[in-house]
Amino acid sequence: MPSLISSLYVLAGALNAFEQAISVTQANVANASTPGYACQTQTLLAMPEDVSRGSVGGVQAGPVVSSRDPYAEQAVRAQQTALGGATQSVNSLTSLESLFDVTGNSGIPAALSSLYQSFSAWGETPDDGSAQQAVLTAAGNLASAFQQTAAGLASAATSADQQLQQTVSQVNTLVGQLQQLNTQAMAGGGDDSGVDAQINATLETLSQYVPITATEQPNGTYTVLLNGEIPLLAGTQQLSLNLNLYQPDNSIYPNAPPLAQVTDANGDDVTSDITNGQLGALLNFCNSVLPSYIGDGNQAGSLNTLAQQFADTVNGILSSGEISAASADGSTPAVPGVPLFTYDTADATNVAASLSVSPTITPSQLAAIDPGPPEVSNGVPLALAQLENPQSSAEEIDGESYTEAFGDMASQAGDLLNQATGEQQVAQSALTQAQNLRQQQSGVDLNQQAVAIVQYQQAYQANSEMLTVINQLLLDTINILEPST
Amino acid sequence: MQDVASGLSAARSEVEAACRSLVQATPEALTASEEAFRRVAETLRNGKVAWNWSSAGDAARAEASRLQAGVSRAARLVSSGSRHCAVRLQILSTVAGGYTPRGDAVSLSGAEQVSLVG
Repeated sequence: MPSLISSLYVLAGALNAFEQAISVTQANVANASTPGYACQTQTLLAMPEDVSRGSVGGVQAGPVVSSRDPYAEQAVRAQQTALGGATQSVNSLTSLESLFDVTGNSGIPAALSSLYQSFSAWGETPDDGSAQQAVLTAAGNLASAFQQTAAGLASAATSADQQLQQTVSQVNTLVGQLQQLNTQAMAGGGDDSGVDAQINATLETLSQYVPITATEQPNGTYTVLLNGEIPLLAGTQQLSLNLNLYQPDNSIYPNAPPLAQVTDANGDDVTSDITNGQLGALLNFCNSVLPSYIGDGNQAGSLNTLAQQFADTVNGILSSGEISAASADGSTPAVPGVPLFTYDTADATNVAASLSVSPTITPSQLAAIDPGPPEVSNGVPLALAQLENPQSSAEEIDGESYTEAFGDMASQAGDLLNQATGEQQVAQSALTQAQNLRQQQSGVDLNQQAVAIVQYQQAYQANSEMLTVINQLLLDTINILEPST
Repeated sequence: MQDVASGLSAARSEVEAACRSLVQATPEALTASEEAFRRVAETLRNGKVAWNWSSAGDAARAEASRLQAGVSRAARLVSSGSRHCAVRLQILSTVAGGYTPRGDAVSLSGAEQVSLVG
């Protein structure tokens, strides 16, 4: 039987242990709303009772165990990354929406339509000065529309470059904060739940910008990898990212807008590893979406191609015409037509931005006569008006009229925005789902969690089977609705 | 007979409600979403004979397309939730000491250790 002193010792040990447990409970209550905080559990160790060896039994406080589940945290971070990427894409693409009016009531399609109408009107009265002036005015409006669209895209590119710089800087700042927290975690022996909460809240913020994986080390510090392989933080060593704007080697168009490149601390290009998050979406916007319109070192961009091909076609038709025909006796030669549009011929990525009506052309210099044979006095304006409904591949871009080619550009921007908006909605739902699952499954013992997860899995399986049935029924419905051909 | 477009619209409302349940991700909500999906399947199955297909046009096709988008979204939510649970269970099983011959997680041993949940 233990002595009285031994009994008092056991009681004191138990009181001490339970006091620590109460402190942990108080910390849990106080931090219930602290971002990143995970419920803590005070373990109590049963001490062996062996009087012969002086062991008096009772309980002692063991280590404090965090209920934080690394996978649940990583799942939430992955959804934060997806949401960050989708939201950034929506914001970036929304800025393009006003430049590509699909209604045809403004911008390039409206100006194209007006120019075609002015060609038709000129064809009816080829010698009418006001009809000729209307052509020059409409051509000037079209050139302005191209310039404005190009300027809008250039502005979007500048803004995206600034956002890229800020985002890389923000990533480095957050990793720097994590480095400081790692230092505190090491000093506290890895059992400071407050530091742990701050680390996880910061990791969640960081994951909105870049795809990361974070692994907790035995000393309480976190190792952070970009896309699972590129170290950003190891212990107290931060490895910063850098942003470079560059022209690719062997650029065909050296004056084109630059591409963006992110390098790691060793100077290695890690751009292709940043496929998601705000930074990934910005890189995609700067390196893929915008260049498809305004070009880069290796492509002219669809807007410039459209501007150049349209200007060249119109200029070619006008130059092949005659302002006045040769006299019947041959004493007065024919006066050939002159080009209507000018642009920067030295840089194919600057055509839309530099497109303008020739400053030297006057209304009377518009060549209306198609010399034929047979000669047609209004052949040129008729041929120009026909561009709206092209008759040959020379008047088309990839089999489409110029208006349709612009429509393709607009619908591409619209499709990307619709896709990003859909992804944003799904990512927001999936993030809420992951956060709820994290919340649902924390603070219970492992056996209970395992049982709960199996039940969840069964519920998801049942939902999945019902969706399979619905999919099949819906396909049948769509097949019935398909118009018979 | 019911109009096809309005029948599909009603089904889409059910799918959207089910998506909201999937996002809540509680056992009760998951049961509710399964029931909602069951009702959608019934609606589509019964619609083959109950709906007025002869007057179905662009509106019905557009509604079917919207319903398809809703079902795709639901499928992605089910998939992400299920994937989450699968990996989490794998981690727990490993923590708990491996697997039984049937592939179930081995129960934790609590020898010489009791715990107070704070």
